[in-house]
Amino acid sequence: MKETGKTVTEKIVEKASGKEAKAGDFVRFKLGNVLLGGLHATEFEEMGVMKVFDPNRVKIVVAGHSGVADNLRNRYSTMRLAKKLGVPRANIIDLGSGGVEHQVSIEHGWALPGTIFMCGTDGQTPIHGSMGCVAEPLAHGLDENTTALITGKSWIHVPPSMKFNLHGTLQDGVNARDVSEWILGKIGPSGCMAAMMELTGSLVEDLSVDERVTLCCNAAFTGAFSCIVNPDKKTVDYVKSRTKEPFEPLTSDRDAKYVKTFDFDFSSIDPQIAVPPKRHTIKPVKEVAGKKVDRGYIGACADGRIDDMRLAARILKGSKVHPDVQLNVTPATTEVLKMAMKEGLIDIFIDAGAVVASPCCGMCIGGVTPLAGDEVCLSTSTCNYPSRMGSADAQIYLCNPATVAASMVAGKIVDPREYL
Amino acid sequence: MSGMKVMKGKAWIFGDNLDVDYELSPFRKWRQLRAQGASEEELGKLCMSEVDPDFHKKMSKGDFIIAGDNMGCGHDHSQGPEAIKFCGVSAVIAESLHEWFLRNCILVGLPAVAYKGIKQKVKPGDALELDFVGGKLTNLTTKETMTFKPIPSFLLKIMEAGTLTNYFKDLVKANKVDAYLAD
Repeated sequence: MKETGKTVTEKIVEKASGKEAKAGDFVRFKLGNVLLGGLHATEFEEMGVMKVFDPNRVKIVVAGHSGVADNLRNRYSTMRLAKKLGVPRANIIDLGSGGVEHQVSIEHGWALPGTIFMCGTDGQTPIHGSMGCVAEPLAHGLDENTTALITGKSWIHVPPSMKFNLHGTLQDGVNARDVSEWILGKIGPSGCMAAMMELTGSLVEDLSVDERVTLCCNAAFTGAFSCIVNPDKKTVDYVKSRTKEPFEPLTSDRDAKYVKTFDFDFSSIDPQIAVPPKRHTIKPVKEVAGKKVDRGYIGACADGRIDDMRLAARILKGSKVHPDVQLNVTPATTEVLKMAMKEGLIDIFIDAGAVVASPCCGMCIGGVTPLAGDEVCLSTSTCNYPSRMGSADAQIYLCNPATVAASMVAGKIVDPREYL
Repeated sequence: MSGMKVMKGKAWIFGDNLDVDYELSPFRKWRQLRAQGASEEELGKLCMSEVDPDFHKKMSKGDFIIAGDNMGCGHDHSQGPEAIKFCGVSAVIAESLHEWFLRNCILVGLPAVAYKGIKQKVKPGDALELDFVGGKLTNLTTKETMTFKPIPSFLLKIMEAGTLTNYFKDLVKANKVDAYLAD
């Protein structure tokens, strides 16, 4: 292959815009697939234009955030407007077959390798970088979804790239979530400031598609513009098995230029935990072991996939959650829920005394079973700023699903490796 | 379009890693107030309220926020820049800006500049003058001038219209939707 000294990010932006893309340039491009959490007639009416640039590119997940609680507000307007705008029914994933929008989107192969993938709109948008896309959120609450959908045009502030070479083999009880938290703890909240976090190396190659999704999910907390994994055979096979839409994967050249390169080995890392109230205070779980907990959550875009359900079930099988705690397990999507049912995992959760909720973001945004008073919660979700999951006085610790499951049995924070 | 004027005001200095959903303006409180039909002035009082509850009383219209690294981190939520704008702050200058915050600032018409070393060059209360279009910042107290790369004209047009919504509605009115994001 011809080496041009370019990163995957530069190549993708150049392909979408038809122009050379240098870091720091503001570049305009034609939209590809756009992921939305709903459509609102009032926004199109306010703009005075009732059309979208290409109905086939519009991909919608109904009520993905709060599930049934979102349904009334979200579904009615979305379904009616989608019909009016000509959005194909197959592009709308309704409650009953949907869930967390990012995971639904990945399962449907909407995030195509080699494209710029815009999401309207969510802070965990970098998750789609796991498929080899440049993923960026459209501005939240500012009509950018609407103007972009009408015109088919958008813009990007081309980021420089930082290369993260990840190596080693993870210990049992340590997963991709710990890798991403460890990186955040190591480089800090501005460690990848305004740059694309490009993840590569033997560890990334070894991880499953699901695990790579987890790895990319929380990249923005390092200050990163977004996150990307160079697509390989695993990526291409996965996407091809999910969609008939054509795509052309792009990868970084060996002589690509990076503003910074990191080399990390993860063979000996412990399970990690984010300690409130700051997102970037990351410690090994053993340093906060013994702290009493009231609540637990296993789910959300970060850790609500089948691998996460299996890991939690290994610990919860034959056990009961401690009488002082309540555990909520929410599979991210219907596909995950069905697999978990087939494998008997849902029985394990229910027998352990967990609340099993229908697929959506759930507790991550204070839905379904929000936190009350000064409760202490251990969660696989994404954010821990005060009031994120309910009460402003509650404390949110973030960690991998094994740590949540083991700590729920113990009634206090424990290192999950003792329970596997 | 009138074009963006040169701005003058005092400097207010803040720290690193200010989260849009927390320090810049608490997400839940903002949503509650919005749902109750609060005015822009009321929403503006949330600006920096978690860091300094009296900020909106102490500052004067047109003043500047000077911040550290990773200004506007966290989510892609727009209420951070909106609260700053509604409070009457004329611009944000920071050591570094989170990219999604920068995007939202452009779309709400709030000038935001990333300038490495700004906290060394500006002290609390210094008088500043910003020529955002020309890419020039002057500390009138120390008489020092700093330059930065101006943003391109296609984005300046959005900012000059005040918000993306205004910009787009003007295009629709003029029957020029095809000119969206044109130079």
